[in-house]
Amino acid sequence: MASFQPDSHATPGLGLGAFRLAAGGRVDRAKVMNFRWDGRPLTACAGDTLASALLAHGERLVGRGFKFHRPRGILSAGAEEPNGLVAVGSGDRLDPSARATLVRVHEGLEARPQNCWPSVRFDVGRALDFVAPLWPAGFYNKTFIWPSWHAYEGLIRRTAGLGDALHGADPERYDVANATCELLVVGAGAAGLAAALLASRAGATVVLVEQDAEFGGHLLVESCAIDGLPAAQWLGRALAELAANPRVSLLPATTAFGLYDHGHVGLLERVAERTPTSPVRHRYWRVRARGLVLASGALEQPWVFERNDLPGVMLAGAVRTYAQRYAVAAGRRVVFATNNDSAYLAALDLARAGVAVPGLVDSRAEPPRELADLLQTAGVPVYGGAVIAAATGGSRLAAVEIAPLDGAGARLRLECDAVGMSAGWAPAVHLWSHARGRLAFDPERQCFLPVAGTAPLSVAGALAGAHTLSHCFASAARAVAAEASRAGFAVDVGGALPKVEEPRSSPRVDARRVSPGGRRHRQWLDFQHDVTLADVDLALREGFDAIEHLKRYTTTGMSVDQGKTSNLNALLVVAELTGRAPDAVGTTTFRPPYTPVTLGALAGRQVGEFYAPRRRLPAHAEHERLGAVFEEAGGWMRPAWYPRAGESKEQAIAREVLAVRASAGLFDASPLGKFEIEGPEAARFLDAFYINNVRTLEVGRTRYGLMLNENGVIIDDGTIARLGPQHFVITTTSGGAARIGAWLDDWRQCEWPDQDVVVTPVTTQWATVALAGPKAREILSRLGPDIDLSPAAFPHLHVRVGSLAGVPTRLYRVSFSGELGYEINVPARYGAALWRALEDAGREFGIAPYGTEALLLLRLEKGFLHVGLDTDGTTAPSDVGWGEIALKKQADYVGKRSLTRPENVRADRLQLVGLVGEDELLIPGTHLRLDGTTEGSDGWVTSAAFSPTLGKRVALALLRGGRARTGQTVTLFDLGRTGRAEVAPTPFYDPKGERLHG
Amino acid sequence: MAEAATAVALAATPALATGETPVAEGTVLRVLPPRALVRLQLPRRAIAAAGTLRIGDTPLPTTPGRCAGDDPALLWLAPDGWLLISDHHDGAALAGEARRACGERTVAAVDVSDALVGFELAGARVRELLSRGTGLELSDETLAPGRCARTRLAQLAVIVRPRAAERVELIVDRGPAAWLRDWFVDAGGLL
Repeated sequence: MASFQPDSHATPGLGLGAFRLAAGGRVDRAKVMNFRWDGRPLTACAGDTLASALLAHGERLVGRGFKFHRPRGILSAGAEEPNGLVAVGSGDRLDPSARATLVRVHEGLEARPQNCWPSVRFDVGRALDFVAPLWPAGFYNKTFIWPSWHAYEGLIRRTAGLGDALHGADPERYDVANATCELLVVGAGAAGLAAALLASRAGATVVLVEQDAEFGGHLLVESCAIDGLPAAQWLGRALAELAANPRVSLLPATTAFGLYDHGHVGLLERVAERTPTSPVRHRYWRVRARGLVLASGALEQPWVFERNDLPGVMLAGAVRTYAQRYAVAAGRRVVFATNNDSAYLAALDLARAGVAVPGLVDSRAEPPRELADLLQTAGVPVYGGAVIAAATGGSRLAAVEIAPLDGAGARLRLECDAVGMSAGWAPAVHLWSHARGRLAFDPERQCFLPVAGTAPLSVAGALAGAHTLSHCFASAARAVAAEASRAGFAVDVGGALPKVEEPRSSPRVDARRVSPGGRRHRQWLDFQHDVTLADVDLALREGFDAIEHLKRYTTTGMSVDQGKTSNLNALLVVAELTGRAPDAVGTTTFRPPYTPVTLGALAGRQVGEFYAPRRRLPAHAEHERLGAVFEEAGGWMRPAWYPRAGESKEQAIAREVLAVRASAGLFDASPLGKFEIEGPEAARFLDAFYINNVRTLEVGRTRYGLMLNENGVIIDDGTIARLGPQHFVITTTSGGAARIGAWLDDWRQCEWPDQDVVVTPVTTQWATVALAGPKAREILSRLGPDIDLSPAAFPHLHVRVGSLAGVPTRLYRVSFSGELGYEINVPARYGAALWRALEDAGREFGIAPYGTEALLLLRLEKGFLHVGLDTDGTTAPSDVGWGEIALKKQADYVGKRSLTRPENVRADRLQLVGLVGEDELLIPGTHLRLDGTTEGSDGWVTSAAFSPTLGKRVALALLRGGRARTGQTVTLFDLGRTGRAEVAPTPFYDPKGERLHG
Repeated sequence: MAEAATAVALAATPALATGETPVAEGTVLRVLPPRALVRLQLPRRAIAAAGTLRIGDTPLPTTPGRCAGDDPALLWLAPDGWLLISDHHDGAALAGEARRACGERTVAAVDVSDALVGFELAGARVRELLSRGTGLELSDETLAPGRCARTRLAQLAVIVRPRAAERVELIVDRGPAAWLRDWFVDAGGLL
């Protein structure tokens, strides 16, 4: 008899669990941890998963079904677990739908079942199971359609969820890391370890990844000998060798979740599981590997029989794993059911551990003799040519009924509290399929296997069809040899492979996996999405016989487990019911991720202040000193306004605007994109980008320029300054600097590579301060320029190169405010000093620093275009008043051809106009309707503000056929409210432009 | 004529004060003192002649990802682009020397001394820290002195120049330099 002994280290009264075996296992019985399950205190050993700890305490009921809220228990021992989805943690640290089979117990862990109310033991949702006929496949398309699906949607979503989403910000930290290697090995079972050993001995850089917290895979439960050592000892030796090699990186508790182009593999490392003290919960590894060996193993598949979802019905391999790794018996009486050899070893291990095994049921008429003899020697009866016809019990398994397949004889009832079933193995082909590798059905093994040579990687172990350790080692050697050639390292795989002493077994799997007879709507194919045999029947009758259609109609394989224990069974059932070969039915498409990936891990540290780079202006400290309110714009932290004590935002902006109009203002324009264009063909090159003539621009002059894309749409604007016959400097919008730089490079390198021209970005080489206002010249002159500032010598739209206070300067006479203005460029190291000097020089004139808000208001008063704000992805030059110039230019330029397309010359295009009015709806985003229009939109307000200069509200808008509507009124509408505004000419302020020529 | 002027002196302020910040156990990030940096570019038609050009006594490197010379150091950035670094010249003088070296060819030799900031990351965890922000191969063979790479690190365009096994120079735009320093401190806290 099995010995189930409570451990003396456990919390008094709890023990280590009534199902904890007295000996064996890899858990540390000396380290006992306390945790809470569904509010109740329990204990676990160090090394336990939540699933093993719950099973140790006889906690069979761990959750409720997705649709029918039927009681569910642990099915597996790995990532494929469909039933044991639990909520771990609480508050903002809640982790919903965690697989109990992967959650490592730590001291103080809190976990609870999900998708049940008021408790997992009594769930009112179970009532749905009694009206199951209302919920067949595709029920949402046909049952709940009157009066409307939406009448039921809320209730259905509440009852059918899979855990609760977090509402607050995730307080955990995540990390992203990159790695490169010569060989990445996914899966550290026997094959993966052998591959890593071979490659590392050849001197290759190797990354070995294992989704389990422990390396070893099946070696952790095997009792055979390798190279004369017990499997566990051989494993320890192999791991020690790998760990001692500095060119090998070992990543346990890490899942390879996706394989992408060029050997790029995404890994999710559950860091906190390995190192509870780490500040990092998960780390997302982006590995670029030259060679890749997939040794991801195979997933055992369940039998399909009546009530195969009862808690206590488990996979045979899982039963073995819980006994061998965790010293936990899945039950006191465990029946096994199989169609292949592997379950024999599980039954044998359990019987040897002293657990009662009332029988092993094999669908094959002739069970494997050697294995059957071993079992019978251990006192386990083997029932050949039979299947489990049904399971019985309430909320947990009580017995199974065994039926002979030949129909002869009565059913035999075996009392049991656990079943270990095996309907064959489905190789974990997911990553292979991510690489677009082909699959072919293997009739002997009754599963799909990778077709060698159809993806740029190699497979080994069970994934390659190996069914014994010897075969695993041999396949690993072949895989490493192939990948060494791909990755470019030399390896000798001809040496002796590890020698394994293991029972003889066959890879053959019986085609039967569905027990005949029984109620089909109680025979479960997909445990996680509650899909039954009857659902597949129905879908096929309704014509959904293509496997992708059937998947979506029945939702088989669509839950978070992505059908790891249901896809193969479903498609083999479809093959059988439709009389097609499995290859003809095919598989559904495997897409990343293999297992769910926390969104936080993908974001990594790219949250909060590290979401995107924050750029500082050369005079950042000066703006801080002045109390600027910073706002991010185009990646730059820019002063938006400079409030004085007691001032509101609006008051500060108005004061800044009025200071510029009355005296002078100071604006940090350093982020303006700047590019030097040099070479004999510089003018020709630039002429190809602007609607404005560049070749005719004289040295020492600047010109405003609009830049279009190939469709004739405005993409940027700025100034073009000619510093010499072959030397230009252009500016772009601040936010567009990087984009336009790439645009220029693209054309230069790809379209006109032979032009004798070079482009150099110099945005941050220069600090740029805009000095604007009627006192600007007087203030600037106090800084000792060696440039004649007089209007005659230095008129508007000119540029001068000289020095200011002894510092090299490029001085532009341009204006975005409508006032006399200079843009002063000095090397960035002098930016802060220039700002201070101008502030000092202008103090007696009442100079004021102004931010981006005042700048936008100043230009709005002038009706100046702000690309991106007053334009959208369709705006052409003619829509903003530049049509004539654009068409007049003789030389060709990007976008010119498109300007004469019928669409671009329509009279009813959205055109930029001015609007005035006092209505509070005259704000950016408000839509416009022309008189006589009652629905739809005829445009929208793009910019609007109260003008402190003019004492009234002014706006710019894109309005249908707008330029012909000056003087007309339009209706403003926004969320049901309406108002009126008048189309007005622009500029609103200084229409003759006299002030900027001052 | 220039206007009558009051004597004003403009003092230079570096993007970041020179100094070092601990970022991980045994690893520091140093801000390098300002120095001359010149971006040299040739049009495509002149690339073929790049191998014949010398800046000072050093031939312009034409092998991707290689550096040449000491002062000035010549860093290959692209088939048509190099970065010149000197502690002894000023930017304008170095740009002038580069222009002269190119003779009559079309060339851009632009002083970018103010546009870029140099860091030095030094210590045992240099590679780990770099791996948090760049997919660049960081093996001993590829991240070795004499090599350089222009890559993306922490979402930024960065020039990586290994100086020793555990010492790497990083050259980055001055705008996000302070942010990058904070980024390394944060990354180090999670190693």
